[in-house]
Amino acid sequence: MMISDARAEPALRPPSRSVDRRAIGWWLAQALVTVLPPVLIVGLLALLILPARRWLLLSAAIVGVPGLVYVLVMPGWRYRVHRWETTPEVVFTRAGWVRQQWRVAPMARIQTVDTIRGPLQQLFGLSTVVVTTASAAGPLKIEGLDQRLAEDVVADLAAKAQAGRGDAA
Amino acid sequence: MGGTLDTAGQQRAAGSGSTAQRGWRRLDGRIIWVVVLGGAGIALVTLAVMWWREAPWWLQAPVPVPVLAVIGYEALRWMKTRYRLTAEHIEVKTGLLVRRHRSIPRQRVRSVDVMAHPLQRVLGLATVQVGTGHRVGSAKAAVLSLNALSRADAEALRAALVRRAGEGEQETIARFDRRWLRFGPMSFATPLLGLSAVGAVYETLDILGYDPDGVLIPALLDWLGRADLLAVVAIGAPALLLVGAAVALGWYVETWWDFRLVREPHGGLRASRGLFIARSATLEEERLHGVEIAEPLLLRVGGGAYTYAVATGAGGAEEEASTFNTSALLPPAPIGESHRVAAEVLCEEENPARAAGLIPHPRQAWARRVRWALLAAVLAGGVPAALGVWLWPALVHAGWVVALVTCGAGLLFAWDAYRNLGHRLTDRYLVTRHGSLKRRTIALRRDSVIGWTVTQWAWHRRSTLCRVTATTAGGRSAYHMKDVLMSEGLVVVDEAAPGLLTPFLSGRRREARDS
Repeated sequence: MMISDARAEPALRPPSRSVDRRAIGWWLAQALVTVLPPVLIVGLLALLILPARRWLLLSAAIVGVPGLVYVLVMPGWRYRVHRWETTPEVVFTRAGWVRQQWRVAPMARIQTVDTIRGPLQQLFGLSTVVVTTASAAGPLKIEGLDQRLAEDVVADLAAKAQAGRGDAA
Repeated sequence: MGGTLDTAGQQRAAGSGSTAQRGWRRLDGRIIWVVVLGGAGIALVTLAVMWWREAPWWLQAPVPVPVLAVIGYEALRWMKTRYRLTAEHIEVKTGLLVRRHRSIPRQRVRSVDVMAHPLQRVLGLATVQVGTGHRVGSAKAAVLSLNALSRADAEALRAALVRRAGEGEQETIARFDRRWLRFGPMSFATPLLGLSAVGAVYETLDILGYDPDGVLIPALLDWLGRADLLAVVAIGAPALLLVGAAVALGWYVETWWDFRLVREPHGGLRASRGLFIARSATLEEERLHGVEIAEPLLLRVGGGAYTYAVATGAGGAEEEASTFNTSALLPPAPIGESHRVAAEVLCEEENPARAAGLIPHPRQAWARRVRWALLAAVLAGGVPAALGVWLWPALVHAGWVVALVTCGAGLLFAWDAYRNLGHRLTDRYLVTRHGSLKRRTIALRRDSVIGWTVTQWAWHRRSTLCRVTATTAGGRSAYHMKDVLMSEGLVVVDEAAPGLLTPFLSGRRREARDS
């Protein structure tokens, strides 16, 4: 069978370019914003409500321990996974951490190219490039690019998409 | 898009004065009668119930107020709404406080649906919905709705909007068959419908003031205490199922009665159906990307299937559960009929979604499903068992029984789901199948695929098990080959879209793929 010949198996190589190193800080900040508030609130309640202290601390631990693992592991892991590449024909991205996604979209099928900068991202001077196609299955995103680089990527992609469509028509 | 067209329309209206007024038409005046009749009906029922329950006069007196308000609103809406069809656009001006001018270029029109609820049918009216297939914001924003026109006007508007060059004969592809009624109750919803019928009886009694909690239920419990429980269950359960089946059958009749699928002269597909609420939807041929055969478990056992079109602007995930799924090509019908219609819709000799020759998926996919079944069994049994150790020993026994049952059922489902997995690439279609509770077989046109996604969990890296998804501009947008080895999936992608992935495949590829 085809599978038995290990050397012949095609595999996807990672896209060539990594995202900005500051993205690690951004993802860390995101993780902290998600994990800290519930833990802090339950911890505070544990300080104030003596009779229920044991149970409150227990629930804080139930949220806090996986949260701590998430905070410690996710940003670095994501940084190793998130990569991107553009060629004259396609956009190619990889994203995720535990669940990883490779996505390919041909230039000729691109409808819009935008950047999004959330408040946390702005603190770190980063941008997300969003590439939509006609599919409602969700856009391709390149998260955590340097703002100026993101602008260049958008201009570049917009031009290529235009050219690609011209060829296709 | 909306903004620029708005201003353009207004400028044109302002600039050319009275000539721009030409062609503007009102909705049918009888829409006011719809709310008059409907409102009067609701008000009368409410008053009757109140009279029956001897409500004081000051509770009864305000009942007509909201009805009058709604009638007034509808009259204003009728006065303030105009539409027109020009050579290039379909336009609607509407709104009481905020005036809105929507204009859709006629070549952007991708679907025209005509529907009429019972009151509208009595009055000879129909609502027309014009879809562009572009879901920029909400699904609602993509639709221009005219509520309502006279039936003749609605039909004329529909014909004008979908007509392309050329007249000719309509070709009927499929027609409702009464023998299909048997598929109505073949659903897990049947027992639930039986239960909800009981709920409806309870609710009605409560409204009419019979106090079921205080009187009926204690009496029922009292009677149950004395009756033979086995006999009660033996009669009650089938009775409940029978009631559920009757409701399901009624539902099927109301949704699918008089179903007809025709190919219109210009090539569009038109499906019309409905007993009380008549509906009709038109799919333009150029936005058809494939077909999907969906077989919920009970329907599959009974040899039936749903048939859907994969088309731009129809059959999204939110539409699948609705009674008016515009992508439906057939009612639940025999699988053979389903294949025939799918083939005819796609203009192929044979339905490409016929399962013959699908490549089965690797054993890792089976192992994964077994792991899920075992995990479900451990969780389902473990929780009561743990509670049992802690609280009440009898629960431990409940725990292992539940675990065994879950394990058995889970393994059966796992086996079925694994056997159902498959994919194949034909010269024009990507065919993929998955699911057990609802088995879906999708045939997607290769040239309709606008992107590819490979999804993999980190722990499947060594086995290279992954999901390969083709994205398209319609239907549920993403169609999966679930649990394939990455090499198999990439071979399919590379063949379906030659050259697209070539620069990203790592070095050690075989020279000739077909060796």
